[in-house]
Amino acid sequence: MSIEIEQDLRRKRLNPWLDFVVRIFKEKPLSAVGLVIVCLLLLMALTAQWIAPHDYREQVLDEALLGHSLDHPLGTDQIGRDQLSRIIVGAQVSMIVGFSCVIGFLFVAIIIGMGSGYVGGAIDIIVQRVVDGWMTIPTLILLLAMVAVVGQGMWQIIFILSIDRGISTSRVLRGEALYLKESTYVEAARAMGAGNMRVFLVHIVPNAFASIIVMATISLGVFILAEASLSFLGYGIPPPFPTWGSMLSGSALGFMARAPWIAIWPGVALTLAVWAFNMLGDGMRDLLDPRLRGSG
Amino acid sequence: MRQYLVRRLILMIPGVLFLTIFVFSMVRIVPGDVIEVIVGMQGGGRGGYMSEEMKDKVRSQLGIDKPIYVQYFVWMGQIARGDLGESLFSKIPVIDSLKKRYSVTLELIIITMIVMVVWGLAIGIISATYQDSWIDYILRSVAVLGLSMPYFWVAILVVVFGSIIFNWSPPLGVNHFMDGPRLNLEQFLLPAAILGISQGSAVARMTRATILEIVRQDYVRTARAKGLGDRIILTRHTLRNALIPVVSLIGITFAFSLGGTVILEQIWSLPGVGTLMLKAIQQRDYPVIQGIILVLGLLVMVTNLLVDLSYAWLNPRIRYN
Repeated sequence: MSIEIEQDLRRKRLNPWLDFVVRIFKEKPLSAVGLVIVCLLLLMALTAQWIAPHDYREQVLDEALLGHSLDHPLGTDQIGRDQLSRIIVGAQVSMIVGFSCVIGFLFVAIIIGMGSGYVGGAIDIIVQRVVDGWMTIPTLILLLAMVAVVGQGMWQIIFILSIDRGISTSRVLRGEALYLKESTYVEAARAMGAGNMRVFLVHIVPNAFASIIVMATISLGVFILAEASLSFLGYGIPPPFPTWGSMLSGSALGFMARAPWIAIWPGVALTLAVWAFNMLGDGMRDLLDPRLRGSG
Repeated sequence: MRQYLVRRLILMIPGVLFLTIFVFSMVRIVPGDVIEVIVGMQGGGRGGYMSEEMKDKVRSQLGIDKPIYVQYFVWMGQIARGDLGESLFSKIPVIDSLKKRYSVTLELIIITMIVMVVWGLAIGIISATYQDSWIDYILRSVAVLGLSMPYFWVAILVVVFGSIIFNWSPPLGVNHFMDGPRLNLEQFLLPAAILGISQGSAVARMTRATILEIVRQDYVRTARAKGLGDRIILTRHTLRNALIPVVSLIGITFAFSLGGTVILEQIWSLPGVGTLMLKAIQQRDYPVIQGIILVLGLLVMVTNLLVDLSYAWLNPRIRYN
């Protein structure tokens, strides 16, 4: 019996990720569907260059506004580009933006949120008031204004989205740091002579891992939507990159009544991606971090 | 309550301070010289030419020719007098453009908030009341779908299929409610409802989760044991407590929805603050951008104040803390 338990423990220690995936499939069927869609999207993004049936830039004016056919399963747009290929490459753009933003925003949120909660005192009070002020500016207006300041481009968009989301979600992680810094193991580490930086990096940040990973998953959907909104308004990722948001905007708007498929498919892709990340995030929150329920 | 209000007003001061500093620093952190950027934007982005005198004039107009702290106080003095500067391109005072356009955005956001609250609470309450029944499943799926479908896409679909099926397209110009309620609602109700339902879906999920948490509380069981009816328990005990987190979520979504009106105004071609903002960004018309952020930021702050007051009214513990 004890050997069995030991083996079980060892398996769990070796494969915490696998174990978690199994739990999602067992307990949260909707989140499992989300996870599958996320994996498919990632696969599509990674192999976009090879699986796209046409070149996403190729304009064949004779074939403009074609409906669904074998050669163009999702039709063509107003200048004869294959929609399916553009949606596949668009997935690549969405995933690059989403995952880069996650890295960026976690960096910002951990430093601002957990840092200010951990340090406390006057710094915390000042930082929190700045966060308050930041959150009063309507998100999209703020993002647009930042585009006006830093200019347009993929890395600029990633920078802007990371800063904004990092600041506006920092409060959750601040709460986490406030709670963790009172824990006994932090006290023990201090007693053993660990410095502030060491306690913060080795004991506080890793212990907030559950909240961090849940927030990252939920934020992925938010980033994809935000990038699409900016691209739709013409201030997102500039051409020639196809993005789901920009496929719905600009000159395409004038042709949608004649060719509704240009309006439908990029939106379906967006909805599916956002839905998948939402569902996955929900399930992970329920399994990993029940305290976060209802936030984000 | 008065004491709470005073304390809450004092807490607003740092927020306003931050907002002004943020808006103030905007034109000062533009990489390179903001003037060069503006020159570059002239002539439809093809680049233009501006004489040194002209550049100095624009600099003094933006207030970036004096030491930084002097700039801030001069600028604040102007703001306090209601002078938000004037557009670099049309030379119209920013405050006048805002006065002309604010009513459109305000009507949009008010209808959005009403739809959001009604939709969110209705779906949430029904869903929680019939927990795990097929009604619950359907409503929850609707809420998740509402959350996942980008509202601008839904808006596009409504316009596109409205024109294909009913040969309908959004009315142009602004039709004031008093002149023709039907045309006005056709213009405002649809976009606002789309945004309201999208935002309300988050409220619905929150409402459902909170109600389900509260019905397991002891005081609800006590109320039931006393022999109170379901309706009284729902309105007096459950809902009143469930509203607390929901109200704070509504406060948060307000700022987000206000951003959403930018996109809807664009799709519905409504001449509101959002379209003004987009034009200003396109031209890098910094005084206009600054003015809009300042005014909308203040609007959000006032709304948050109202939210917090209703919060205190719902929950006496906050009032006396």
